[in-house]
Amino acid sequence: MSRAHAESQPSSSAVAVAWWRDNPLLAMGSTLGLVLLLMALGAPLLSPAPSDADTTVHLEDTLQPPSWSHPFGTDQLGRDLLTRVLYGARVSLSIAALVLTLACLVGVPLGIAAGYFGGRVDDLIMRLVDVFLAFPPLLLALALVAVLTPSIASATIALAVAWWPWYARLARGQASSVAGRQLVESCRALGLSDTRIVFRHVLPNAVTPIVVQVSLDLGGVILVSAAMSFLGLGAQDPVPEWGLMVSQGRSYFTTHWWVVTFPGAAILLAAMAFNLIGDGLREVLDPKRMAVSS
Amino acid sequence: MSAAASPGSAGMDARLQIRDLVIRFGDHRVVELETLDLFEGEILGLAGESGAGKSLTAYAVLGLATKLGAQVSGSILLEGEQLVGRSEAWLRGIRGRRIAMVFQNPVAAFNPVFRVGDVVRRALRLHGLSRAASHRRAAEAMRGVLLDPELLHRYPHQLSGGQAQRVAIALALALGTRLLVADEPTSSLDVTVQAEILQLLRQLRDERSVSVLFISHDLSVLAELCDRVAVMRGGKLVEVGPTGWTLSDPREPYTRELLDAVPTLTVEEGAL
Repeated sequence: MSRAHAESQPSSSAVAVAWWRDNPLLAMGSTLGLVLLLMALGAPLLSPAPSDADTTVHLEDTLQPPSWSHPFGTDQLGRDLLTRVLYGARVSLSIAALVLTLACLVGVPLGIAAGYFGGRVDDLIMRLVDVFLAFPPLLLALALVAVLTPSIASATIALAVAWWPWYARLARGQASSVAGRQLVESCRALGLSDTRIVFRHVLPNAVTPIVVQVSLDLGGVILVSAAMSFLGLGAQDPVPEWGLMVSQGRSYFTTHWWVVTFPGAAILLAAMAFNLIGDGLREVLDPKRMAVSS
Repeated sequence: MSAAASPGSAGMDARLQIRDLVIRFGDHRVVELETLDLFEGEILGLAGESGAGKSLTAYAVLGLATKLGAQVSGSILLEGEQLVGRSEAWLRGIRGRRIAMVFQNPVAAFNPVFRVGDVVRRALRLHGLSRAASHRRAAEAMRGVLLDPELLHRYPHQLSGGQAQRVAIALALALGTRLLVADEPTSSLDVTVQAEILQLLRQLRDERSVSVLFISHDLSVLAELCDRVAVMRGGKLVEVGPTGWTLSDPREPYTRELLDAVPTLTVEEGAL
């Protein structure tokens, strides 16, 4: 059956079908991820009342159940929940992207330096990493925000501080396994400097696991940042942050289910999307698996 | 520093002269070589059991022993120029261009994420060639080691061990190296491929007067290839001499021991 597809000109739908069959995890994750991305990018076009994501309140429309004019209902300040959930995708995705960019920028160079040079450099950096890893990330981030003023910016910084050690450890492992290989010796024997060896040879060999980890962590960061907002240590009203929305709606849960449910479902969707993408990518990029299939 | 002319190198010029070389890790003296010369267009074998200091000596010649945390003293002269105690930047300019190294596992010596041609061309450009010239020189070097230049488009894992080792040698030649340090270059290859690599090294010696410091624990390979053989034990030189003498009529008991340790294949009559 599938051979007929393969022999004819592979149409884009056939490619999509093959993709779903070969790696359903990745396909499903990417589809969900794409939905999230469209939500974030298309928020101004898709939402019924874009200004509700901002400071507008409609005190005459509070806690309306889902209807044609408000598909997800309205919250305790009469704001359209669909609008706020869509804009929430923007907030969550940008927090996650920023946190992981910062974490990689700090963690990867440190980890690579530790793994490549070894010895005292390694000890110094990795003991520091151990100190950070001794705290659960949420706890560390909460403690940091408690010192700073609660806001999206401080939550982002705090999460980056809590997250970089993981990248340092990952990069260190990759770098030290490459540094022990002959290719580094042969690079040196050709007159390459350490900087050049690190950037041209060690780093490219460390990229794959880091990419996988980033895609897995996107979900984790979204979850933790939502948790921080839920606890009042992240985004502050009127920012349409999912965790904050859940927190605000929680007292109405028994009587007005929609206020909590839709933002909660969005968090679930986002966390699931990136976990699926991460698992799927790991499978695709696994060299052992590639060796079998090629 | 001290550029003492070496006695005994009558007629031929020494490409590499090692004098009073001591390599230490802390208080532990791992290598102590008093005198060892490598002449132009000569293949010098360095034999000895594992841990005899053969590879460390090779690393010291490239100025890489200090990178491993060793202290190096004494003198290593490359065409009369002192290598010991030079700055890392100066040594980087020498490595590849004037001394090249070939490793035991040729496939592992290449970065798996790049095509070998990229590695070769980058190395050439690092040592000052233009983009166009690096393409030309890489292809020439491949033909010089009897390989199809098309192989430059492959990734290391798509090459056989013998091909990868040839590419490594081609790279060294493309850089204009006349001193090749080969650390067990054939140990990971099968016997026919091994013979081809040895033939290639002989050809380079004869046609381009390349000098080779050939490190191996395989006495049969050394006997086949080398002009002279030096035997090391516990970091010290036990015996140096023309291959025929050293390996067929060793003066030192240790060389005899090494020879006796070579497994020989005898087929009893009627066994098959």
